[in-house]
Amino acid sequence: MEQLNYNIASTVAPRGVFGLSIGVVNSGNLEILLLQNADNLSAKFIIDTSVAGYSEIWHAVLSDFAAKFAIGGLEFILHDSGATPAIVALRLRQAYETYLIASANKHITNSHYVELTPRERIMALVDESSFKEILPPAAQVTSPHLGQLDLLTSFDDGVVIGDAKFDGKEIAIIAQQANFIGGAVGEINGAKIAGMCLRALERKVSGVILLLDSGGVRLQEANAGEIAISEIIRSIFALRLNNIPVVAVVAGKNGAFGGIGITAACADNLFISEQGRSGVSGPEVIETVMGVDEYDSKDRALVWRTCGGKHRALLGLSEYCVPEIDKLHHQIKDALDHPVTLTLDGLRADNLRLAQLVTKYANYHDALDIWHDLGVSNPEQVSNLSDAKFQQLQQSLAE
Amino acid sequence: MEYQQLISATFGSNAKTTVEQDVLLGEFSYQEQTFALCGIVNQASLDNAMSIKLADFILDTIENYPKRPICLVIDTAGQKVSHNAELLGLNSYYGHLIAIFNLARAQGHKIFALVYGKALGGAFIASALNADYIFALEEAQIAVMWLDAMSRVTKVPVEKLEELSKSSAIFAPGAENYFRLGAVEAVIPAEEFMPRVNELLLHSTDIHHWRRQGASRGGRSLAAKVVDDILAAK
Amino acid sequence: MEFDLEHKNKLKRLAGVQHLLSGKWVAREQLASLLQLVIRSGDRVCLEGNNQKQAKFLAQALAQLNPEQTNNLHIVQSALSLPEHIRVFEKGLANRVDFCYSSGQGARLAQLAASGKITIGGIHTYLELFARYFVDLTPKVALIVAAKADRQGNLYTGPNTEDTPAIVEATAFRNGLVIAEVYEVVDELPRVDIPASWVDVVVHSPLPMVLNPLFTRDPAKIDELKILMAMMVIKGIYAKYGVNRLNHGIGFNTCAIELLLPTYAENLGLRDKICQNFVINPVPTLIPAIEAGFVKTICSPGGEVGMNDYVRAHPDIFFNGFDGSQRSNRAFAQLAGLYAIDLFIGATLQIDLHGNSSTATLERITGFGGAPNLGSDVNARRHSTPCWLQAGQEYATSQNKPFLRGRKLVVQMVDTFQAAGVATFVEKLDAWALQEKMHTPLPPIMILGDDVTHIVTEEGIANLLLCRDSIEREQAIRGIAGYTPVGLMRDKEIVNQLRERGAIQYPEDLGISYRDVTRDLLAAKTIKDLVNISGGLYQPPSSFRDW
Repeated sequence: MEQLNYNIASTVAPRGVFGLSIGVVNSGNLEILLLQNADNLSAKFIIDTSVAGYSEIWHAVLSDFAAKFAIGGLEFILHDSGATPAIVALRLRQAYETYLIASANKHITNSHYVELTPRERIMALVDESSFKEILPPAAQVTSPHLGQLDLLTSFDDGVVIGDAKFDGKEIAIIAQQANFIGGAVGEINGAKIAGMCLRALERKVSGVILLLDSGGVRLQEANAGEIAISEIIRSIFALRLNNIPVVAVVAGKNGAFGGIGITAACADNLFISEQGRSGVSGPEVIETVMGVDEYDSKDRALVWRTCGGKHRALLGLSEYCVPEIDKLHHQIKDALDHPVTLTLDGLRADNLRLAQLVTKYANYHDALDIWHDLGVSNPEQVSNLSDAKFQQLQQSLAE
Repeated sequence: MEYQQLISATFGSNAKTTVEQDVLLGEFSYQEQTFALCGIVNQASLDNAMSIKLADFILDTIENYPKRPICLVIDTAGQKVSHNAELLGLNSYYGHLIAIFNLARAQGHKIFALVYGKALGGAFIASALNADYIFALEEAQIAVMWLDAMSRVTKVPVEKLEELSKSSAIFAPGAENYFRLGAVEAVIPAEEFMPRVNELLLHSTDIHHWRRQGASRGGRSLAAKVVDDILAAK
Repeated sequence: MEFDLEHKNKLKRLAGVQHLLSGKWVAREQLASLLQLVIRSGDRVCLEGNNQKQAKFLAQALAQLNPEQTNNLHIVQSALSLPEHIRVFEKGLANRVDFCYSSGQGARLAQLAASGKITIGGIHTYLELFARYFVDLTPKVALIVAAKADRQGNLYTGPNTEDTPAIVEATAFRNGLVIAEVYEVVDELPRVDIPASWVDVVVHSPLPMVLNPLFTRDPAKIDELKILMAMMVIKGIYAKYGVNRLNHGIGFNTCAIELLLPTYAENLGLRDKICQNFVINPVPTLIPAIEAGFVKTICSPGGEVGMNDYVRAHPDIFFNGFDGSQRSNRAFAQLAGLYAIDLFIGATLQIDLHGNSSTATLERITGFGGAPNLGSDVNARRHSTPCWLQAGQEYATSQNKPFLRGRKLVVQMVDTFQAAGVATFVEKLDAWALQEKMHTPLPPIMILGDDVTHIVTEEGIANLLLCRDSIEREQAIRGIAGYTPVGLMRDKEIVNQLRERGAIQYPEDLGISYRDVTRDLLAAKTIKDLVNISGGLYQPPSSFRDW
């Protein structure tokens, strides 16, 4: 780890929006936060980098940037996780463009959920310009525990929270950053999620949307993360018991595992896409503990038919969702309109259903056999089915 | 500690319990009050079927014994790590069990947990962590992961983790750390559990009190402030 | 003089193992005994194996032989890639090797060479080694691999035909013994790729046919810099010269180009103007361009895992047999790549100031394969294309030489850094240190700077054809080398002059705006997209799935 500071002369920057960040702290990448600098004729750079010893190259990159663009009066804070100078130059350019066009609330159209950053996911799903982020990157509420271990922090500690409107109704929305330490939950990250749920409770909003994308507890802050997850779960049930629906979406590359896998299962409605996965123990953990014969984590087809969205939907443990934003929006809207009230009878029925599953399939080793028993005539083809075809299959099984 | 030993030391001879598949179910009386008693014993890993057993028991308690307080005793090595457990969606079983704990609380059942052995990983989240109040015996081992395994995964040398854990309660195993972080009310001897429970029965419960405890005990200072800032945001 | 001694020798060896044969078939358990009898000390033995299929069962049997009876073998083979390939030398069965490259075994090979247990004759390109099989490296015994055989011993090599025809032709027609392992025995073959009369012994391998998805790249991993480079290549090179006949190397850089054809290139109006005829393996990332009607023909030197059904359904595009399956004769495809393409583009690990490139690192011997043939200009070419002529004209003009021939475009497409602190552009290639360490006559250069016409980085394009002398050439390379130490040493004045003359072009010179550089330009963003675009015909291996 190394911290570098530069002040480089440049012409006065045009007006723009301060406090926005771009990029992510992930191997080979970096994040940049753009703030105001007191001196109008110079740009200030504060860099935390995981790769020490390249101050000359940094200076060259930043000098070129300051010569090419009018950045006087701007301050750039960089958290660099081994990005190449080319990536640094690109991100600086993107940060500057974001500052100029003020895309904090830009409307994102017609995109694929997996391709979007957490903020983009939120902005694509909620009403245009309605998202108000709480504790945004500019607040720089970062983890002190990572620093103690010489690890880079992130401006938002890997989670985006805020108020928004969804089809005109007040909601709270939370999105995890899959690429910062695997979306894992630490003290601050977890407190942001739990706090947002409590805020939703106080404000009696119409619903809470959790966009989950995480392996669970952040090991570097394991105890605090575990407790935070339990606090999140308490808050979720506090919401549900007050008739505020909680919708969880698992459609990112990390899925929802460990404590976040459990959290996902606590929502009124849990949506999992084909690519999404959920569980408590991940495939690698099971392989490490039980051996490759028990579970070959490199056999990705096996992994997905064990914990992927299609299998979960066929078991009746989650709803199937699609990754196209507009369609996903419809599904979430429908779920918010149909909360699942917690009642004794309802939970009794769930209990019976889950008990039947475990009685019937306790000795099964492959989802293909379960699908066959569920009445799927061609189990091998299930994973090849398009979203539309799979939804047809679900319907035909329901009938 | 064996569970038989714990039961007699904590609840006395009137406790009626059965243990099947390492799930303990039963009841006992303390000063005229009957308590439902359940738990995970023998350092078992919590699997799907065990979760259903516990869920069934709490549902019966809600249905048949309104507002009867519930005591949980916990000694679990964590979630069941197996292909079949995940094939059947273990997280959904845990989520279901947790929902039932929360329904019970909403219907006036106070829930108290005593960690007397191990309490690891996801099984801790699915069980004791759903109580209104959690106590732990001094020998209790509460952890997400042991330091050597944590070192392997995080690539931080174990010596450094050990050194840091002397001053920080944030990541290292131990009931005392969970006390400092606010989730454990107190680390106590077994005999002290029921007197403490009895005292707490009289008060109303704020189940979101951990973060304040964590801050006042100095183990987890930021969470409370973060939540306060979020609640206060315009 | 007698002129049939070798011939008689072959017949005698075959006669000596008749008791182990039933027709041409040898039982698995008898294979080691058969090899012990049929292979003699000092023999030149070809062990088939390349970047795809491997004669693994035969390699295992060979490695089991007793070195006291069999030794001093001279191994000739395309790729040293299995542990068994190295064990043959470690055990003392063989002591000399001529090959193309070593994948995965490069470090052990370097150790063996340093300890003197192995003498490396030469490191070749595919075409060179195939050629030498017909001149001075003809195998006495060829251990080959086919997908299927019928009872008579006819062989079907199918989509992974690859090196087999070249090896068998050289061996069978000059008194060599051809021993084949096959994965399946059938009554009737889909088609005959190797006639039984060219084969002496067949064994049914108990091992599964293992193929690696070497040419499969997940579009999810293509970042904005690769997309930027791909835009520059399409606009600054493909469109400029009208490149239609070409080869793409392996890697994310060229995959980005392939995925931009139906989107970015289409929008530039380049359909039917560029990229119609490829010499390339059936790479999955070409599926969108094929489906969009961009690509007209593909000649493949090999197969690719999961692509067989897709190839079968596109007989107008690929070279398929009457049975419908792909053929993929590597010798012909490499020949096509040498003589009949106008552009080669690929990535590398290091480039020096002359434009020489190398993938060699200090600890391992890797070798070549096909890239040097595909990525070289050929003096023997006589036919013309507009693209070839335009490149030749540029060169002749800048050199002030008479215009007598065109030039093949040879393009290196690289990020300026491989990783933080690891520069692609260097003053001196590691290949020189490797040469010193291994005592080889020449450093292992993959593509010679003399042949390179363009270098593309995320900074811009250097057109070396327009450089008049070695000083300009060096500065053109420095000018696109970004923040590497080499790049920082550029002479700004010369670089500006080169830019004015178009010898260096930056994205803005090509009218490319950074704002347009997004992953939305990719015709497929995931492997699943490729599957969907192929209509379900592409079946990616499990390791590439996330569903």
